[in-house]
Amino acid sequence: MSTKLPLLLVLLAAAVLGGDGKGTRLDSAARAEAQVVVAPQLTAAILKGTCGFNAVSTDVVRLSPAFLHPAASFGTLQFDGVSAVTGTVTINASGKVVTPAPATGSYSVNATDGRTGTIDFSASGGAIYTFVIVNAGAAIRYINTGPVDPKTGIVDAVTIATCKF
Amino acid sequence: MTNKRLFPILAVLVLMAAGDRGWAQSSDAVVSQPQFTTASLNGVCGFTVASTNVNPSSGSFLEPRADVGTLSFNGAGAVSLAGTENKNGTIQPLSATGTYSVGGDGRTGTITFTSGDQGQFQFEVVNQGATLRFMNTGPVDPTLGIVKEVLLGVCQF
Repeated sequence: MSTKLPLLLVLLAAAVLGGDGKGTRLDSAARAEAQVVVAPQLTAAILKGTCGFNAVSTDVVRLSPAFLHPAASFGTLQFDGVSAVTGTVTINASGKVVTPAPATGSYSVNATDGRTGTIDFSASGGAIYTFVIVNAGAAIRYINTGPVDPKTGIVDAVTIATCKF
Repeated sequence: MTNKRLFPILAVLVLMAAGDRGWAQSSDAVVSQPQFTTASLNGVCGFTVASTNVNPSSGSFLEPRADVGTLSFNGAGAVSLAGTENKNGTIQPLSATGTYSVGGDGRTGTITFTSGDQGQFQFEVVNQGATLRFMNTGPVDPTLGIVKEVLLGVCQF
């Protein structure tokens, strides 16, 4: 018998016994599908670049119960990776389409949780937003949380939006 | 048995084994439904919620609400919520703790917040476990016999 025969037998055994490629691959796939990534602690630096958003909002008009003034908007938010943000937007406000001048503001990420933060356009007459970073920094989801109207004592709209880089 | 006679047999067996693996990979190329369990949800996702209060006594005024925050799942059935809400123009913090589970179908589940801002939700795991989409399903107001809010949310890891 040739000295090559043991080698062939070893190869054959490996192919038959160790070759459960199906099970191994499915197990790996199942693990990948079921995996949920633990959120990292993020800083303002993660928000660098331009994301595109769309938003929907409803004006709060407590004295006008029948008409809640819906609005939809889309545009961009450009973050500098430090603390400055510039926004462009087109708004369909109750059927009237407007494109205000670009707004500049500031943003920050809460050091306590590394996930939530604030965008503040109030210095240029705009809104204040509270956001949460999702998808490892590939998107933010946010609502408006200010400013409070001194006349009504409330924020005059309820807005919800997503901005994706 | 001589070496010359044994070699072709071994070669055929090796080819058969290799061929079987090839067929298996081909058939498995069809994407199967991901199966998730309660343990699969382990980490923090960021959510937004849009909701409208249901006020049967005032059919024309439906009070919009939006929420933003995080849901922390521990992988073993406990969940906590931290966030901020804009409730019809009033800004206030949100906080709740409760339980969650993924059902036997491996895709849908429930969240019940038993302390803090209480509520019951049904969710679906989508995007290969990277996202939850959910709505509220309770509690039912005993006086009105309905859930007093219609809520839709998304939570992304």
